[in-house]
Amino acid sequence: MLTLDDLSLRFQHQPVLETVSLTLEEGRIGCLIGPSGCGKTSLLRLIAGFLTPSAGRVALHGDTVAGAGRWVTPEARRVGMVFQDIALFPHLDVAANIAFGLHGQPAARQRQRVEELLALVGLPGLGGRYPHQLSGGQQQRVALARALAPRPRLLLLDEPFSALDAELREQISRDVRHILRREGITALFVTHDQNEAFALADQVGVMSEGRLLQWDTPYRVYHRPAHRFVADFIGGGVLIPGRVSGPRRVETALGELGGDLPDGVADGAPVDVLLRPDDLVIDDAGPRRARVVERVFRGARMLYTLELDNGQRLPCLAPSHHAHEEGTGVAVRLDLEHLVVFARV
Amino acid sequence: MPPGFPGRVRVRSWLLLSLALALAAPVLVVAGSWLAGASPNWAHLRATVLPDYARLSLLLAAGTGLGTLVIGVGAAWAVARLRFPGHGVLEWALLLPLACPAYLIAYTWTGLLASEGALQQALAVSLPDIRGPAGAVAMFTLVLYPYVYLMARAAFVGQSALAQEVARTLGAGPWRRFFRVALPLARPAIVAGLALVLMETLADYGTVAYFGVPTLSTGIYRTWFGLGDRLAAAQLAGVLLVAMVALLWVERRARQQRRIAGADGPPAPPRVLTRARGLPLAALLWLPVVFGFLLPALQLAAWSLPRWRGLLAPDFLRLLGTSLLIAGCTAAAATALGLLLVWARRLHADRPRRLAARLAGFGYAVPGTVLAVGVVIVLASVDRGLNGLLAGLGLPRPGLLFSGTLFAVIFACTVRFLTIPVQGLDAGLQALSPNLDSAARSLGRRPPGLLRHVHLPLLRVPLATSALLVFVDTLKELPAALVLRPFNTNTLAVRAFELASDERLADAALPALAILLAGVVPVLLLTRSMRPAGQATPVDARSPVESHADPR
Repeated sequence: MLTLDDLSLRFQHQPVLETVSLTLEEGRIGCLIGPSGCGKTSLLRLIAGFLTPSAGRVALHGDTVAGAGRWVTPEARRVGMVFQDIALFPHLDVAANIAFGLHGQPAARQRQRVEELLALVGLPGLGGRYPHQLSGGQQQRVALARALAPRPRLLLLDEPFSALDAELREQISRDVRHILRREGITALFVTHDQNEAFALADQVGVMSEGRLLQWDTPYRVYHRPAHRFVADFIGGGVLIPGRVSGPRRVETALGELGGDLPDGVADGAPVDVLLRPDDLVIDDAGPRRARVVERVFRGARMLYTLELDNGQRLPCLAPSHHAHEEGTGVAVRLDLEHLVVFARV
Repeated sequence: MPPGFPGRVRVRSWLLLSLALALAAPVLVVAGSWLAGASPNWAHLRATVLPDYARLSLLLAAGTGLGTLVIGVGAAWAVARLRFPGHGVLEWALLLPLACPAYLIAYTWTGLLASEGALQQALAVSLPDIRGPAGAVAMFTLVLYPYVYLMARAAFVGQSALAQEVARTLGAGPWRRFFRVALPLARPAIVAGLALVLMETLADYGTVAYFGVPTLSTGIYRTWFGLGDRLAAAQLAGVLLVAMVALLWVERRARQQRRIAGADGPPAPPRVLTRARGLPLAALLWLPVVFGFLLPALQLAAWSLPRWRGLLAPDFLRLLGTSLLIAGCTAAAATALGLLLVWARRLHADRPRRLAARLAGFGYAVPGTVLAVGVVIVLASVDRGLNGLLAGLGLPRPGLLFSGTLFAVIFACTVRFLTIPVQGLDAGLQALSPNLDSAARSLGRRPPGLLRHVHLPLLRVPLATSALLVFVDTLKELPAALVLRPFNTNTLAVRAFELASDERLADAALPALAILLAGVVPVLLLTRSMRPAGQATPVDARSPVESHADPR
């Protein structure tokens, strides 16, 4: 449905995007995530047609809309967009905002579609209000309705919830997911909030410095990071040093671990092993001793920072009814489902 | 680069640049005068009058800058942050002097202070002669401070309460909060207003000519008509042009900073003063209005009253009609062209379009007299070409279709005042999120639809403001009209200046009063854009984005 082939963008000779390729199937929700300045918003604007690629191709339903000698203007692409700053037309009321993309259709059809969408986003009867008379969450719903009104082939959402406060954000993002699912909309989000990405998306793309490092399911992005940056950026884990001690064996401060190793690492080569906060379990029968350096209460869970004898610090997420004081010693064991190892560079 | 879209864009970009070059042609012709090498009179000028010209111009600029800063910023802050008796009236009354050209108030004050004048008689003391540099500074200050006031007020009103409250929590008292928070936040707006004031001061011809103060501006006129050296005059203008370009640059930079300075958050509620403190403040704030508008207007009315029958004389009506026609055409042309250039750059900010919009601002930097030379040179050659072409085709020759008609005056004023809509609309557009454009495009609107359904409705206020400012400025424009008007045609400004220069002060009052009154109407309309969002009618309630003078 949406296909990007080796898409690159340079701005005044600075590379903004480099050879980005991905495919998003019909009706699926994709999400791009990465630190600010990684090029994720530029990628959305390229797909929408507000930027022109330096190389590569954008295709919608198999039609090339940019690249390979073709260029379709943004207004002809039928790609809807929801913006970070919401960008409702301040001089138009809600109904007129939603009907903005329906110009040229008979007035009765427009009215009917506006009613449908107001009901869909849960704001029936508010068509006569002006944007400044609505709350932030209501404005964002109108923005979604406006983008959906002309039945776009693809919906792009650029950090749509970042202007909302945390509580509202979760509520709205759940509602939006529900709406997109029900309407079978193909959508591509941009966010810097990984929880949002995991909650909303079928496919997650992690970007850094203009490159798409991994385009995969949320589960695989978390558990099978394909790149050292992805491992580091997602999930609050740490990379601890180790040494290859045999075929499928790595020796670390937590003992010898077994699992897949990256191609081409020799015996005895230094590597890094990914450890997530939930990979380490506090267990009195555990084989290793560690000291509690810090603890942060997270409600149901407690996030500990533990320190091993060799000074290596590790995060550990434990049920909060196991309260261990800072400075006390605990015994731990590893509960690693699969090993993620990166060759040391 | 993909074909299609960018290709069309590029063709249009070059067309826009050509349009801007055509509008800038009079300025370029004048600037090009330096290519001919220094005039033979240049050494003589440098040895004799030039140091005086430069010294006095600087003196006037410094004095006027200081004066407008004190009055403009002080009044703006008081009006934006305090409530006192008569606040509502004063808020707009402070703009009234904007209706009054400096040369006009200059000769009115000369009459007021003359030994046989009303004030001298009433006060029975000897009043100073204002015909000198200090008097000129006073006149400029009185009529130009509204530029600073207008900009600064918008900035103060737009400032969020947050910055003030943060300063309070850090223990800052009212004075410290003004100098360390409110003023720095408003500084870009104030600098922008100040740059306009200085440009007006340096470009003034009427006042300094009447007061006999030799500045660069009158020097240009004298060198041109007195010495008969157009080259030296143009080159003298080049010196002035450098100062103007520097001011333009300052103004542009200030405008850019202003975008950053706009803190979000609701504005601070104004402080209500007690009567005991409010009345003296109100009295103080009325002073610039009284001296800059009410007293001169009363004097003009007193002079005009015995001559009221002159109002209905065909001569006067023709004068009025011509002036309104010129001002109306110029306002329409400048606003339309300004919108085209700025909007095209918003759509696609490539190099030719950016250059086109920047070129459009240069006319303001050129004093009316010099711009007039450029216009004469350019339009005369167009006329020559046209006549030659039509004669070659065997058609009747149209004569001086452009250079010999009102078109020349309108063209000159459009070039000179184009910067007003360019900057006003640019500020208005910058206040609109670029995502509004993206949203409209992604919803299937092509650029014309975007303009019609999004930008035009949202730019209503800056459009009206720009058009009105151009209208007023054109009505007041003296030197360009003086030089370029066709034979047998006169404008109010030219007639008033001619009569005043002949010491027929009272006879000049009728056209002068007409300029003043015509100027007041747009100023009153301008004040409508100052209305805060809370008091606006429901239709206007979209205003946070619309209040033009408040670009965030």
